[in-house]
Amino acid sequence: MQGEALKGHLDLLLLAAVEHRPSHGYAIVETLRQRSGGAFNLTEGTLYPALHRLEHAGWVASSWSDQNGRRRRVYELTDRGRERLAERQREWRAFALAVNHTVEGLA
Amino acid sequence: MSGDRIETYLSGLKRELRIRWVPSDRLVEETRGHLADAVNAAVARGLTPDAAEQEALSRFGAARTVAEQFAAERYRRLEWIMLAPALLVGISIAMIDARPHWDDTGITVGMLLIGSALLGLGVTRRAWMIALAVGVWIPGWMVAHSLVEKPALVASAVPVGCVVLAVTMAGAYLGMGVRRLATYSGQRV
Repeated sequence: MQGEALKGHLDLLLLAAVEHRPSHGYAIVETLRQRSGGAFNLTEGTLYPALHRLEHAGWVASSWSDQNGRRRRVYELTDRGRERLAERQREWRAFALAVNHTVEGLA
Repeated sequence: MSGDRIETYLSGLKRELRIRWVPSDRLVEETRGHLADAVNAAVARGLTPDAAEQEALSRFGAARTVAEQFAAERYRRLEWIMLAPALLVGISIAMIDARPHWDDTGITVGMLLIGSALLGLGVTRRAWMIALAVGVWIPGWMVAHSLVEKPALVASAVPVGCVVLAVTMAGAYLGMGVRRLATYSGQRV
């Protein structure tokens, strides 16, 4: 699935990817790839503008971390980000349920 | 050869970011770390270092695309902030032009052109927003004034509006173009 199809959902995906543990950019990409079974194959460089936007909004915080002598910028969810994630998850579940019912013809 | 391709890419990314007035140090450093991780992971999967670099760069995306995304995110807010002075300039010029004894079209056109150009220096894209914010007031005032005083003259606002917007478009895009050119030239020195 390419970036265009994920537009509008990227914030939710990124917030969910750092929900349980702070992660650097490449780890976030890998998390998205693994959790989606390889379906989310984004242009990796375009995730960083989105991460910076989330940081500007106060939903994630970032700091430099030295890992085995290598410098990485690590992102973690803030309290506000956790609230935002819960809100977006509720919206997504309602949306997905409505789409499923419509597509599958459920009453 | 190993590593050269990535350093070349990072130099290109830095240049593309700076052309768009996006601070580049942190982004380039993050990209360096990301690409190093991607290369290591690919080598661990059995690729040669050369093929791993190629794959990492391909997955990361063209430097220009990445820089454009950063610029779009960064300037999304600034573009809206620039609208406030643009509206103020537009209203001021329209008020001067609407004065009963003002009859110097040349000066009005000059103010529109220079005002739009100076404001255009502040944006890196969507200069048309600046042009509209500056240029909409003179024809807008003409329409409002005509409706109250002489409804038959409302139609005369159309050609005036076209000329005013053509001037502000020219000015705003000129300003944005000068900014881009100056930044790009600075990168090449």
